[in-house]
Amino acid sequence: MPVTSYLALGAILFSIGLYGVLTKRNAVIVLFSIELMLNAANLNLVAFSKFGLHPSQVGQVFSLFSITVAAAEAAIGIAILFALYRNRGTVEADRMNSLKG
Amino acid sequence: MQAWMWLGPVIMLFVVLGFVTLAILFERKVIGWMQSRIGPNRVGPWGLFQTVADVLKLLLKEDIVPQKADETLFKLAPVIAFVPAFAVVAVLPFTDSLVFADIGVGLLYFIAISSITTIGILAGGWASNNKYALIGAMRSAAQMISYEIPLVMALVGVIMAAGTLNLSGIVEAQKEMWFIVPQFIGFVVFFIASLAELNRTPFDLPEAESELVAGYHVEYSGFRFAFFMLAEYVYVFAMSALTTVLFLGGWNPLFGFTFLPPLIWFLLKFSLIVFTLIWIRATLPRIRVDQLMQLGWKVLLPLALFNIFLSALLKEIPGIGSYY
Amino acid sequence: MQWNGEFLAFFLLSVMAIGGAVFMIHFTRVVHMVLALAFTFLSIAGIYVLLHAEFVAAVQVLIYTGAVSILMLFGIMLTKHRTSDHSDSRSRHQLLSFVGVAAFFGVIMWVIYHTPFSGGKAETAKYTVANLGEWVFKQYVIPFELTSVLLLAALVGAVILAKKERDA
Repeated sequence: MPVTSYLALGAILFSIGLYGVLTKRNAVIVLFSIELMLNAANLNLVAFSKFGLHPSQVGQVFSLFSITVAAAEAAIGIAILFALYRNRGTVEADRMNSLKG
Repeated sequence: MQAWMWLGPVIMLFVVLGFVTLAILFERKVIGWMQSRIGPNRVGPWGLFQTVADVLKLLLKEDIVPQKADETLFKLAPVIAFVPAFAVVAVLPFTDSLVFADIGVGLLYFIAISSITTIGILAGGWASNNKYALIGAMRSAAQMISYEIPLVMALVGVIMAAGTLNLSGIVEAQKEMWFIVPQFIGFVVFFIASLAELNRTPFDLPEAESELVAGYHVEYSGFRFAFFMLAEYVYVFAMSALTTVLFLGGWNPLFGFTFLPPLIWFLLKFSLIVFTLIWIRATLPRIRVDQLMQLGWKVLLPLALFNIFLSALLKEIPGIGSYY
Repeated sequence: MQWNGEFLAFFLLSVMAIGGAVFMIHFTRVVHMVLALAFTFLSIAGIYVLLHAEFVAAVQVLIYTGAVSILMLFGIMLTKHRTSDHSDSRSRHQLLSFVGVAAFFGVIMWVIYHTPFSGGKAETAKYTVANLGEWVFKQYVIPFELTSVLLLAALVGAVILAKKERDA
């Protein structure tokens, strides 16, 4: 398999995730779309760890770190959502506009 | 060789199904014996065909999908719950030659794949569109996620001692000393956490008959219900085998009694674990939800972390360090 | 491009991954969306196995399919929803987003297919878990410790944020 196929897959998934972030209103789904984008980036890291200019396992190490950070991000994101839901009674991202002048 | 590649897993499927059939009967018999009852004794000699009759009854039952249920998800959920249960059996080494997939990250594969079942349970509970089912599913998911952490942490000591994630390698490392002795704290934490992962008494809150009707599978009937039950008992099989492999030395004989073949040794230890599971079910009452969470996060997790620290410390001491 | 096992596996897994993601966009019920994405994450784990990253694959299943997806399902079940996420009133916004994303996608694809990747030969036999551990705990031990601090901070932060506010 050439490296371009893996990169193309990553690009497709990233674009779908981006579209999800831009169009979905439910904040849980927006968070989850961000996770999809992070996954697409991870895919590139792992692909380059096999096909890169200087292939080594460092790409896998990087993807492990980014998975960890993504997990922390998801936990904090959901906690913030709960706090918001308790105060405003909704999880629709476009209804959270109390800072709007 | 090619034929064995295809036949092996099929035979394994039937071995596991046979185990499930026998285990349910065995469980009812043992609990009956412990409660001074006789247990099932009508169908076949010694009630041997009782489970077969029960399964046949389930298969003949009407297949009901509630009207307000999410139909696709309702039908898909038992499959999501069952497939991982059987997929984890692939990495279990029964003897040094009888192992289907000897992969490098076997232990991690087992833990990772088994966590998918939670999605099936959650999806089933939600799709049923029933309050009891939803509460049962949420409880189940919360419990399984909470206890997965001490479960994995308790394994770190074993992984440090064996120096590998490969299950065959872990058994090889126990030639001199089974890990249950040096890793006793790890074993206790692992065993309690695995009881919770299996949703068995005293941690059977997700399907507490007396408070939740039956938990996440209230609305299920017929063979879909059978799939959930099957997944549960296949996990009993897999988890008992994993405990045997990790802590009881797998197929290694005790006291150098090598006249028994390795497979028999494995089965003996395996049966001991299964019996202990049933024994605990007959002995302990169910605990409360808040006690469950407190036990997981405040007792088992610190204990598991302490075990990692202790193992690392003892590993550096000359003499006994070789056992860690 | 020759038809071999690796190509077939890659093809199937990427169709599954993209399919899950597209269904996520297409579905209207929130729970279905999360399950579709969980399926995508599982397929990506399969792709990692193809790339000789078994450990990352196992971690991917453990973290994403096993933990993050269930966290998201919890998030959905503990908050109230209009069960469907209909966004028909914002078709202009949707169109603009689509055009923007499509342009972005086109540029990225153009770059990917016009860059000469002269990759080295990977010694995949050395891609073992033991070697990965050597990397993490020797050269990258400081980032590793930092992530553990980050996780601890996230744990404490999540508990505090999600806790019921006492009327003080």
